[in-house]
Amino acid sequence: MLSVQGVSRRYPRSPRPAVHSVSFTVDEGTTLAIVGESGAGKSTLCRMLVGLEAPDTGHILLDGQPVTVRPGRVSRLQMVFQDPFSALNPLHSVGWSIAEPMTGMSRGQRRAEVVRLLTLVGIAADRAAVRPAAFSGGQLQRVALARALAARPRVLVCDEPTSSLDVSVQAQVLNLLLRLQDEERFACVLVTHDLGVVRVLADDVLVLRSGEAVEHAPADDLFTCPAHEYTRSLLAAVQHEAAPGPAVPAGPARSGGESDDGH
Amino acid sequence: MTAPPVPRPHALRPWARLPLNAHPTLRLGLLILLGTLGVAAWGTVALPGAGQQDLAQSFLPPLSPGHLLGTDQLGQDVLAWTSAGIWVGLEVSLAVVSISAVTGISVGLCAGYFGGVVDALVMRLVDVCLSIPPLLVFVAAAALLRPSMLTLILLISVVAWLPYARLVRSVVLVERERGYLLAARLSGATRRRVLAGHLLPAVSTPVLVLSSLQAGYVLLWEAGLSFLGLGIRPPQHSLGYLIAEGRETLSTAWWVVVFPGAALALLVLAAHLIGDGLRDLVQQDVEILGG
Amino acid sequence: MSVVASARNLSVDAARGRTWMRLVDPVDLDVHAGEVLGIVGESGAGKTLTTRALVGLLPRGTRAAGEVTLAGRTFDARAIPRQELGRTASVVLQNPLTGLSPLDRVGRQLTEGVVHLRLMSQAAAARRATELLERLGLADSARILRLYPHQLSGGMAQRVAIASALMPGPRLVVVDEPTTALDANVRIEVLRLISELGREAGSGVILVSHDLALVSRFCQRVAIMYAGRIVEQAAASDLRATARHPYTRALLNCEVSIQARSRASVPVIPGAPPAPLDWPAGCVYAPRCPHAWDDCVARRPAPVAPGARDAACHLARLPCRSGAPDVTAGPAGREGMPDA
Repeated sequence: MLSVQGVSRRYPRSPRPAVHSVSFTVDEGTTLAIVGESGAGKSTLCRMLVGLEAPDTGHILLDGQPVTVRPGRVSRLQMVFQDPFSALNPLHSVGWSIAEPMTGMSRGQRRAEVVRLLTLVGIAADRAAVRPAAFSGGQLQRVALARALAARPRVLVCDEPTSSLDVSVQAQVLNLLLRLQDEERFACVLVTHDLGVVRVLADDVLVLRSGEAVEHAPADDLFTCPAHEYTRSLLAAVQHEAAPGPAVPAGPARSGGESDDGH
Repeated sequence: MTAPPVPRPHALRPWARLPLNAHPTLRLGLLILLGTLGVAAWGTVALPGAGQQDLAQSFLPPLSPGHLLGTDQLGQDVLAWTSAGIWVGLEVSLAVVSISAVTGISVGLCAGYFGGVVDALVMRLVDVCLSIPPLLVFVAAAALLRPSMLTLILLISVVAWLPYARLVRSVVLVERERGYLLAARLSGATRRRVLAGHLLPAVSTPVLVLSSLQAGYVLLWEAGLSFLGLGIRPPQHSLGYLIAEGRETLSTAWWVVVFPGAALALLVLAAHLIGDGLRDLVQQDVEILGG
Repeated sequence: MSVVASARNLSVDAARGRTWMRLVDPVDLDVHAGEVLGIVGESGAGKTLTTRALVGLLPRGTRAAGEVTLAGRTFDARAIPRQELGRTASVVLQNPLTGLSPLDRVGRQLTEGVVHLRLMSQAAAARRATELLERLGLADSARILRLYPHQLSGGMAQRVAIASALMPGPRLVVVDEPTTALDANVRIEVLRLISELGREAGSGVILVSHDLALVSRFCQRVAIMYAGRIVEQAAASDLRATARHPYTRALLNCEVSIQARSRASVPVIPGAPPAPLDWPAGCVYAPRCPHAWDDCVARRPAPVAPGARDAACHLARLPCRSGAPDVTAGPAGREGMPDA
């Protein structure tokens, strides 16, 4: 559905390409995780995927059509950014930001839709008129997800969506992403350096090093028997001293994150 | 990753909340401004004859009956003239700040938003303009034009819009790359929405701070030009003109220079204090949000 | 093992209008020579403020109270002399480049601090800088000393920052969140070097992080902080298997590791930590705790004693229980309760 073919990009003053000849496809309802270290070209790839930057060579196609961003047209590929605090305009309420992609709707319809989306991501609907400064990082990521969903995206590109969040908040946001993808069936491209997050969310994994794809495999295969030695080194770096003990039951696991909008 | 203390809901725009208790600079600036304006208002209302000349009453010292601050060589009441001069100065200041802000913001927005060739050309123009000493421009213009309030306003605006352009452009360059603006583009924001809905509000607070500081400078420019005879002249009143007039008799009739001079100094001080206070106010917001 | 740094009744308040708001409730800490103590907590738990208060580096608008002992000398936490920071304690910052001035060469920045404090001569300082850089794995130290900070790679910059912290031979090194700016490989290497060098020099190291897994790997002892207090303290090796405080267990549960199940929900801790103004009167974790009972809401558990293996939890301290509390799904109502 989302098809990336031979995409390359080099910045003018740089000796090495940021991204070199990367190809993959992502189907509806599935998640591809792109793993790599900093400088591997992940952010450049993200921007190209949604059309904010054009590749030097190669194509990025959604259902056969090239991906572009044009003023006045809502893109079917949306993005969630790493820093939740700069992902929303600080001077407008979150409801205003969420309603940005809504076109062709009356004010009443927009308001109703904002309420629906906020509830969907677990934020109290009466906070629609509040500005981002009053929310925590985890809550802002949920709002960012609500805004992305307002555009009814076919593809959601997430650039390190949880790396600036605390562990327990990250857990809530990951559960939310799982649930939303089950319900809305968008394709998801997840860019991260955290292999634990990859394990939870990904169906397929692409390993990027210095702008080149060194391994591309289903997640189960990659984690059990990685083919490339770079992948092996990444996995080795996060092996902990012992596997965690039997998971302590804190109660029946919920499929959605609990909203933390109590404060 | 420590959380900043007190992430309480609050607006970014300073005028939506003015906790004056916590901002002595701002409070002091406003106090001085209001005090000076109050005196000016009283002077204008209580003494209607600002331009009345009475040579028999020339050079009366302060605290003479009917002339609280004395008179000048033409018998004009210093308090009345100073009050009128304050209003004129404020008028010029507000007009210049408005014109230059609008011009500077527009230019800065375009340069920052469109980037590339437009940005390069515009900023080179700004650089060239900034390197010309304003005084030369004013003197040359005065030689060619007849001095009046309107020409004075336009003349100072020609110089005053440049800092706005620089400031706005730099803010736009930073905001352009932020997540929310990229998301706006992905949401199909038109150019107008990006400029008016996102960028303009983002520059509003820095522009406000700059404006209050600029207001002070414009007052000084106006007074300076009028002092040199290149600006406002009778029958209109200007603090600078009055100071120039009293210059020669400074040792005998000091009040003709000191009171308008003090009024000017207080106004400029107030402008700076308010500007600094606003900057601190905004900075605190930025710090709390930045974490 | 001798204690290189300790805190008694250390608390931190932040100015808020005319009053002070408590951000760190009185904590007691000990750091021994040659050990690495990890302080783990989420945002707002107070871990950075605690360590900053320990070395006298609190930001403007905050104040500390209590007693701090550094290298045998005791100070009132309100007024720790600046020189202590240079001599006995050092801080390694999260982003290494922020600690380095872009205007001076690396070598000069490494030596000028200790020379200014008269800890050693210029020549001795230069020798020590070279030694430290080589020990940290930068073989061509002579070349690196002549570079400017912007010419360093991320990993090199972090090593220079560590060298800078170790130059005065401090008894205490505080490493603050060294995880975010670095890749996994570099991160692990950096932490390994710090703990090794610390042990060799007999210094105590405090490692502050939100990453429990990382901390357990590199620390001998771990203190878990939640909402301004220490809720548990244990040896790192014990923590995973025998964590006693319900928050610690919940935190361990919601970590995602490569052993997690694919596409399955991750356990979460319902709700969110209370803001400093909303700290409850009893146990601060009680509103989110599946095992909370009346005593927890009414009475605050006593603070954890320094150096002890303890959890600030009524349930965990009940003498009839041996080992961890029986953690079955608690009273059903608690789990599904929406947060206040």
